[in-house]
Amino acid sequence: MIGLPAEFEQFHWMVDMVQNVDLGLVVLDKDFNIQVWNGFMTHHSGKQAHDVIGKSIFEVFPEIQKEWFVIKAKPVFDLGCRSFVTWRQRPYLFKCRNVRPITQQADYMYQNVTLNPMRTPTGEIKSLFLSIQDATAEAMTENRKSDIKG
Amino acid sequence: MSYPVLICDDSALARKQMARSLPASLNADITFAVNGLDALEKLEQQEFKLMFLDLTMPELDGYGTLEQIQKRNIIIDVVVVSGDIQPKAKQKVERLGAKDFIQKPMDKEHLKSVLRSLVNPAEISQVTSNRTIELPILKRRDIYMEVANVSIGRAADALARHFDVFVHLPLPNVNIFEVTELHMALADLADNDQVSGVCQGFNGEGIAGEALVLLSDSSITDLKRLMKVPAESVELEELELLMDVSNILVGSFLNGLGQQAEVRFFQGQPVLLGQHIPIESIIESTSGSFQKTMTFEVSYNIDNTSIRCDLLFMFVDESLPILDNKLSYLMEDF
Repeated sequence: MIGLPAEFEQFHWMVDMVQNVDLGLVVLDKDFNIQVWNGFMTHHSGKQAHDVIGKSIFEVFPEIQKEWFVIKAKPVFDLGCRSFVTWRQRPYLFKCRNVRPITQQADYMYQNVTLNPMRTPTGEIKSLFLSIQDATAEAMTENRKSDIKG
Repeated sequence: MSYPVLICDDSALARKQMARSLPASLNADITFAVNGLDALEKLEQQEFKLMFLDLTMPELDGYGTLEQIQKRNIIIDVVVVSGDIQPKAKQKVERLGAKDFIQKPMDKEHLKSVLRSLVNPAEISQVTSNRTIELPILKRRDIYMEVANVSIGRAADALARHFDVFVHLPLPNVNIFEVTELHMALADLADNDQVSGVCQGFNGEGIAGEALVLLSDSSITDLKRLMKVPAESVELEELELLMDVSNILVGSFLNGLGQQAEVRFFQGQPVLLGQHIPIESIIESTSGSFQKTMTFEVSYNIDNTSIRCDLLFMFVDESLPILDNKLSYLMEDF
């Protein structure tokens, strides 16, 4: 026997990690309604999970252009491959406020976003999850470099 | 009397699989052809009852072979066996007189039902001779080639459905790529401002590597049309579009590969060469990091567009034993 705790406890670990990992995690269904909203998203967007779950992402974040985002999501649902939004093309998907009054150097969080397919046990793709990475440090370093060069 | 069958495929693995899949009760007398021209020669020399035909082959492809068979009034039942599973490919071969279509990798039950519908039992002798067929000798490269072929078929099908177009299936190439060749390709890219390069790392269950997509800039207008980007409402920047398309090409090929190797592959963030990272620095940093690497080369053309692109999938050396292991089931039948 390996000394692992009971399955329900492991399940709680998973939930705990999803909630507290330093990465934004959002699950969307095919109609782009928010199904999961983790702690990182609450912390940075200032929107509570109970206020956003069940609502359309376009309703909660009017700055996301619907037509553009639908094109981004199409290969995820149709082909089961990932899709990407990089800060170099678009600084952010969710405009996240400044949460560090002293050390934050940018007005908003630069983000690298991945749209991942989620498969049901039968292999269908009925939802996708977004992972949102804070790329502010990278963007700041690079902007500073180009400032020096320029 | 034995039943004369012609198997035409450029892949040694596919020929071998096909020959092994035919039931002993058919008492088949099997002849192999390695491309369409070879097949036509054999059809002229000898009479066959049934032919299994691949679509993507060098010299003369399956479509050309079907055309020639019609033109020369050769009477034979042709069953197309192909990794090209685009709906439009099926329609096209049916118009050219093919009796049936079997998708690669082959499902034996489907083959049986095709044989039941085409073969008249009276024509098969009941005495089964213990004839040994001389099977082609397989090399590791043959397996990779065939796997690449099927992956491309899957990718093309995905693209065809996604964009509603017909994708011309090229012959893939499996090569040992030397770092100097990579540098040449990159230097060429740096000199040529008509071509963009996007790199994307990928991995799945320990199999890792990087894909390089080379796309001509003249493709952009056609891509916008295909992606159905609304003209004004959305400013989808060209660079972003390039990265999206490369991502779809890489993702769908990896899905095809993953289905055969039973691995789920994941791509990393795409990186635009020359924009996000200077090409000279790549050449510098890859010097000495590896000598040779196994590479799948694939090109795509899309019907009625100027879209041409080349994909290179490079695997890191440590991945190859794992990939071999995953694909070993292809060898096990024999």
